[in-house]
Amino acid sequence: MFFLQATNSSGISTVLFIGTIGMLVLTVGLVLFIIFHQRKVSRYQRTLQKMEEEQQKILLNASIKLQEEERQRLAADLHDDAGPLLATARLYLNENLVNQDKATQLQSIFQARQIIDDTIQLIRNISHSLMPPTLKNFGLESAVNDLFQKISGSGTMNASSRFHEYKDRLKPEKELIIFRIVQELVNNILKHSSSSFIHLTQNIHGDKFYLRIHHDGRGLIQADFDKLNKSNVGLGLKNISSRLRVVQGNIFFEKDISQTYYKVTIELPRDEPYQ
Amino acid sequence: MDKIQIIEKLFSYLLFYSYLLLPLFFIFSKSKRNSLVICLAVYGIVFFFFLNFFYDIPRSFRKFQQFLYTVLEYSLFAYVFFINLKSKKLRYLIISLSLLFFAFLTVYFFTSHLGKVDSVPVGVETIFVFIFAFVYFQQYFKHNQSYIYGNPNFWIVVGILLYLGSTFFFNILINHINQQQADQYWHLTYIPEIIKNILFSMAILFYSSYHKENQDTKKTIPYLDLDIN
Repeated sequence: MFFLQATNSSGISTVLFIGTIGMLVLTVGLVLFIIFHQRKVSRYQRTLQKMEEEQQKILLNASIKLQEEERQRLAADLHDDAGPLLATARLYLNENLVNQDKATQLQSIFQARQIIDDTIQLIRNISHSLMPPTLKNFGLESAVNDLFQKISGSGTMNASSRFHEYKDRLKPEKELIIFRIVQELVNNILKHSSSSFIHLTQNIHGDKFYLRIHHDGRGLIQADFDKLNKSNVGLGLKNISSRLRVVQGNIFFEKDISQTYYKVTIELPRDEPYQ
Repeated sequence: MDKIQIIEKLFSYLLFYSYLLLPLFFIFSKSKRNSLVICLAVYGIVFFFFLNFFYDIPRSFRKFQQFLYTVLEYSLFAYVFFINLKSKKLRYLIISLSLLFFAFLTVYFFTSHLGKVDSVPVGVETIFVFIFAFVYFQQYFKHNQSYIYGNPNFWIVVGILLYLGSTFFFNILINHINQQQADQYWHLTYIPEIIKNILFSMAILFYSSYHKENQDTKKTIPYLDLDIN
């Protein structure tokens, strides 16, 4: 109002002209800003989405590769071990057996039986490596304890595990996934860390289920894990990531504050107890 | 009639008939049941007749005409923002400010003298509508990730902003300048108004494809939850 009072008619005319142009520029500027800003944001989101897709692709490839390796291992076990054993058993039980004397017959049958027993054991071992019976029958706690006892029993490393709150079992599918992740992590520690001990603890905090592995060897921190996860190497780690994605879990790789130990923490949402 | 007057006359006709674009596009629109589309079409018809017969009505009614013009225009603009904002709080804000504005308009109607334009209410209307527009953009970016220019409501808002923004200073200052200067600028304000009507008309057409796209998107989203049971 002061401005209006202070200006004469031609001055108002200038104010009107400049004001109108200013408002027009402001409005057009605002609209253009909105459009360009949104395009920028959309472009950024598209890049993120593309990166996510790439990551998914790497994980899928890793999963397929791992499956193929497992199949090859199974095929090799069956072909190289079970095949020759059964062929040998067949040799002992050939057609000439009936023409031979009774002592030789008994010896051949005994030998064949021995070989068949070995084959049964071999197939059982293969089957157990696919689905550990302890896990199926007694749950994650027993299977993990069993695994750690075996490691400790070998004498190369001190391994122990403790489940603090595992009264209610998780769903069998979830247990298997967690067990496979633990197996992979333990396998990595045995292969690469040169640690003297490995310790696993289980706990529940709020609505989360936690598993933590400590070891004193060479280890990974989160940045290493993320880097390996995005690269073409580290098949096992990618497999861990894809398994965790299925159970909507997270994994954290850290170094202890004391800088002496490495910690790997698996975090899962706690679900309804499995009956 | 000199050249300038012919051009001015042409602008006037262009403006009047640009309002008819709204009902015309409504006829070809496939979203005839959309309340906003209906409102825009009705707005086009009402304002076409309103402007055409503005000076045929006796001068004693001029003040009421100005009052009615502002009420109708503000109501449509406020309605555009009202149906585009999903938050209850913000809708209440629009209703509250609108009630306040109508109360102010009524008081102004009975207390003010007739001017070339009811400057003060138009100024207040512009400020309110600009506030609604900023809230609309803020809410849009908060809840949507799709391109804003694919949304017909965006073009309606742009039309409103261009129209009110460009005529803001003119409407405020018109009562302080002489008739000759007012006539000089008056016809220039028709340009943003015509642009506004064109944008509104395009929005009516966009509505058909926009709603179809939205419905199709909803249908094609598969159930992606991973079942591990």
